[in-house]
Amino acid sequence: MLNTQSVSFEYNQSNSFEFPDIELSEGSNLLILGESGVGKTTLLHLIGGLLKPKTGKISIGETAITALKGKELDRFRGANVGMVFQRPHFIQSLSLAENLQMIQFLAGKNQDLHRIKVVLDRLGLISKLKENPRNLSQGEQQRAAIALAVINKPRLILADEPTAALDDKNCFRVVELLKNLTKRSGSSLIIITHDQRLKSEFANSINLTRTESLIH
Amino acid sequence: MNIFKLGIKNVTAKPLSTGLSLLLLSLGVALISLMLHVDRHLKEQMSSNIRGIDMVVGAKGSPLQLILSAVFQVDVPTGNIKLSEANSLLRNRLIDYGIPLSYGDSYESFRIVGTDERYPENYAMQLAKGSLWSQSMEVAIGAAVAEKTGLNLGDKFQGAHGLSEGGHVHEGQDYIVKGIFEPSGSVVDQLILTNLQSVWDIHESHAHDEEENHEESQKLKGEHEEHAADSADHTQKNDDHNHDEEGHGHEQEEGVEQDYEEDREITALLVKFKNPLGLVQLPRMVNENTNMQAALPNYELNKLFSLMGIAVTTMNIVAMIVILVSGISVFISLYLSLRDRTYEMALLRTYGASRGQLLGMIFQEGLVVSISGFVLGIALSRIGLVAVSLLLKSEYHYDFLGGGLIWQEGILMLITLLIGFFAALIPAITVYKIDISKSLSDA
Repeated sequence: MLNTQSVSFEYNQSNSFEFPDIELSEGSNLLILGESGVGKTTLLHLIGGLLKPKTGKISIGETAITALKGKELDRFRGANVGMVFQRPHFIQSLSLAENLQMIQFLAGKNQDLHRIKVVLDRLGLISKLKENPRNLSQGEQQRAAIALAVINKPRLILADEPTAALDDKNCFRVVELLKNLTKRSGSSLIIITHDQRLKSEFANSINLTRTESLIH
Repeated sequence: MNIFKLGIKNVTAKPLSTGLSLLLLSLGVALISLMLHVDRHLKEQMSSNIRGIDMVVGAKGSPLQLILSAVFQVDVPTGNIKLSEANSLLRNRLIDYGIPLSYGDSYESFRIVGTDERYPENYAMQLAKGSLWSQSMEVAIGAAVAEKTGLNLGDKFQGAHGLSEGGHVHEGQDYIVKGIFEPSGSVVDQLILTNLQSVWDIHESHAHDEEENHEESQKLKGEHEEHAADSADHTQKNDDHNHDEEGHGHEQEEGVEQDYEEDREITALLVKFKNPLGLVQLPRMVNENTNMQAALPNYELNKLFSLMGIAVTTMNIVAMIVILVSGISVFISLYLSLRDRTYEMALLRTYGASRGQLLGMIFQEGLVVSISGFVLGIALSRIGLVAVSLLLKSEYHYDFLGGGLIWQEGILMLITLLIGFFAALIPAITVYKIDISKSLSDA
């Protein structure tokens, strides 16, 4: 489903990365572990099409996203990729339900309130439907961020340090929910983190180091 | 939910800064729109009231005051002039006709003007009810007078000395309403018209209180009206004719009449020239050779308008500055919120929003504020217009009707739209150039 081939990226000459090839099948999970500064977030943004690689090819499904540009890329990302960030962020002027409707709109999908309610119910947030996300607790916000990522049933969900700011209890709850919801929506999940707590939660993991790029 | 609704929500989610921008913008728009309307109304009203009047002759004094009092009935008169002098002026061959006006009394602050039937004719007044006066102390009243005072046909009232309320009431001399005019939008709506004789009777009754004299002066007046209506040389001919026909015996009688004419005074004479040459010769002639003064309504009005123009321009500049400041306020509000919302914009991009959509959204936020500011401003200006109208109505009996959009307001709208556009320009470009990856990593 996801396929990356000899991807490299360069911010500038002294700050460049080469990434190992990744092969991920439909509906499976992958944990990418690595210390700060090894380019975890960069890799995630490359896979999500937020950055263009210097070399290499990234395909999601049959689509080579490295070949997409501008509007097409935006549209493809909206429909096929969901993202969860380290610190949850929302559209501030909208309620939680409106945030989700907005994301459905941006992906070009029907605005389906039923789907929104189902997702929020699974995340235990159904009572916060009309709440402004700002007013939720941190744990609730991180769960709400998962709702944003899964609402469109994307093929791929990318999570960037989703648990870094959470305590143990919330950390595992969020990971469980992520795994659970991605499974239900038939998505693949990639989590990048330096949080060693998660290692036991995933069968499939790779370690990202910077050695390769340092050789060059 | 879509981008358009999001743009609206973004504006309404910040009530304070949006409110400030709206307040400034609508104030500026309201000020300018109000000035435009007041200016237009005044000019229209004034210009329509000078139609058919090329020159005003009255007592020496300020020419503007003479115009304001004789044509617009808003200022106090400069004084009186001798009827005989006025009549001798009317014999000039360059004058088509002259309408005498005699005023100084009022009823419930509506002015009582002694004149002849050519005065309402000049303003194309139509009678709604009744007829014009046929003898002394009969009046025809303007529509606004009828409405305000409730006077109706056959009603009697007493005039008060002076042009404002509280003057000495002329007791024992009742005016009777014989006619009511249709509303016309001209100055006559606010006037009580009667013949010259009524005004003379009221003020000179103690001197000439014999019935016989009344009749004679009535006859005299009628004759003079005819003279005035006819062309100047015609009048001249008639006079010659009279002299030829009448013998010595009659001459003495005419001498008596002349005495009356000597005593008679009117306040002003509205003159229509027979040909444009009058404009060149007559004002100078009157001002240099007589005890009277001639003023040209067009000239005085243009002077007045240019004075008004300075005030209007100043107000407009102030209002434009207010609008500009509101534009800056919109800009600051958009720009500051954008710095807070960089992550939000990156989020939107991540979830599939294109650069163009976000660019459009920022412009929309600027334009929503500027359009609502404009609409609000126009609404405010209409409220202001009603207020001004009420004020002017009670002060000057001037009606201020019609609050439709005028073309200058179209330009005003264009300006506010441009302000909204330019206020959003830099924030929109910032959003357009946003680096999603960097914004997400920095947060």
